[in-house]
Amino acid sequence: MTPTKTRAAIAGVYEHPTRFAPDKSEWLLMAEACRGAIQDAGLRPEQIDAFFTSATAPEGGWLGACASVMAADYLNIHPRFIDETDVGGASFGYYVNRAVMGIEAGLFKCALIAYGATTKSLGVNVGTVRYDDLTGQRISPMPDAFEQVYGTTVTSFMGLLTQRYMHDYGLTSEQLAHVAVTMREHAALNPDAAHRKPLTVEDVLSSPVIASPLHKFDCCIISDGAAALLVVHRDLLPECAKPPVWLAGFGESIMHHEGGLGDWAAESREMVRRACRQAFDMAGVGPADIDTAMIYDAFTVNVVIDLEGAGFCGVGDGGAFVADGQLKLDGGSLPTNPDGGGLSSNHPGRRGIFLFVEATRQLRGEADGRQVPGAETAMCTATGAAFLARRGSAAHILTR
Amino acid sequence: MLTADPTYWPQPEVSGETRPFWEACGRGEFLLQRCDGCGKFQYPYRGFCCHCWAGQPRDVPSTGRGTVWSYSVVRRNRSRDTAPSRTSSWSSSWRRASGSSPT
Ligand SMILES: [Zn+2]
Repeated sequence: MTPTKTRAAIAGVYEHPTRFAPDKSEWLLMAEACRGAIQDAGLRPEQIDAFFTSATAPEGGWLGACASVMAADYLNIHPRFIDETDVGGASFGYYVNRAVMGIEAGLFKCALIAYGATTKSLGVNVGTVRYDDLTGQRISPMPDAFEQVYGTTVTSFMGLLTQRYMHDYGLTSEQLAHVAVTMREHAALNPDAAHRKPLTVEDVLSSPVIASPLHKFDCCIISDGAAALLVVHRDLLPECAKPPVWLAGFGESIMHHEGGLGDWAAESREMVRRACRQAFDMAGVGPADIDTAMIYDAFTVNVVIDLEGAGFCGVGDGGAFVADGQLKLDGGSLPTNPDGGGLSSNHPGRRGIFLFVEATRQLRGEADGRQVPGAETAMCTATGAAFLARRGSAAHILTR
Repeated sequence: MLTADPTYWPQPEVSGETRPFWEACGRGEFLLQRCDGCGKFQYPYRGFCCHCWAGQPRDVPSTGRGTVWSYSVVRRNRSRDTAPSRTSSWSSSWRRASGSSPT
């Protein structure tokens, strides 16, 4: 089926090619990405009337409280609407949602969504330190005191989830390894990707365990990076340089601990399902209508859970789906993350924005060397975290 | 690089709300709470019932028995002050075990 469209479309995108930029600031990387996106759209900076960005501190830079005002000052733009909703790496999906809502409500017409971080240059061990060590703060009474005292890291939280998902649904480490291998195959086709050397299932399984059962290659890489998007009202499209990529549907959902009574493993999938159902219903399409997917692969297990939550396969079938090669550009039924994803291309702390850049390139037919032939409709799913089970998902249907 | 302090363990901040929990820990008790209105349990410890917002949570010392819901052995922890684990057999300063859910 053909998706119904909102009045909002992506008119410009830019992904900074750098993966390591010790001589630049996160601010400058973001500005260069904004310049790239406005040039890609064929618009002018003074047309920007809404601005969305994410704090990067402490995991990828210095941009902290009041991030959107601080960054607007640096960029010298004058948006009448700002937002910096924080859902970790999924934040950028939430910004797209808020941009579409604001455009539909008539509040603004040209929304800039931007991000830059120098996580690698700063040497931040995002996934392998305690949160109090990452932030330099003490362990807050609620709720960190009940969790961080055990020496938890981001990777350990995901290890707990993965272990339970394996227990409940029969997922295996070998199946997860196929996600990492496929992302690396795709990265080999992307000249900007950070890691392009071929990887085997055996390589993944024999790599060091970071937090069991997650191996090194189950975890996203750490890079510097930046990107920007322009989401515009359809009234502006005649001025734009390139054909639009329409926002057809979007959804979002959060999960948490349910007062200590929740099933963290099942709820991780059901949260994605709620977000995806909203997006599918709004666009009037289903999983079978999606030509290519961008799935936030912070860890290999995220891909499996999102596939099951979105309905690309049944509950408990995600492991077999990825091991069967369904994510591959070469012959898969759902070519996923053709750019190599966070597992191989880039991951500067919060990766959600890059999903939209690659989806736009794919739907425009600009993804040289890794183009999904004839891609007309794409899906983006992202899950971001506050810590432990406090997380949020965003889902989007894009169409040309 | 800072030298790990072998006696260090991250210490929680304690608020008025959570002090009873930590004082109970000092007595060797692990407190759950049960609401006198809706009857539901909650954890972590807090000053109101998050299920019904109406009843009063009462302290319920756990029996000490439970079922491990999941676990992860953390083999890489680069926190600058990470010390040897008290809760696992790992001896190297960057190894420790974490995380069973207190159900
Ligand atoms: Zn109650």
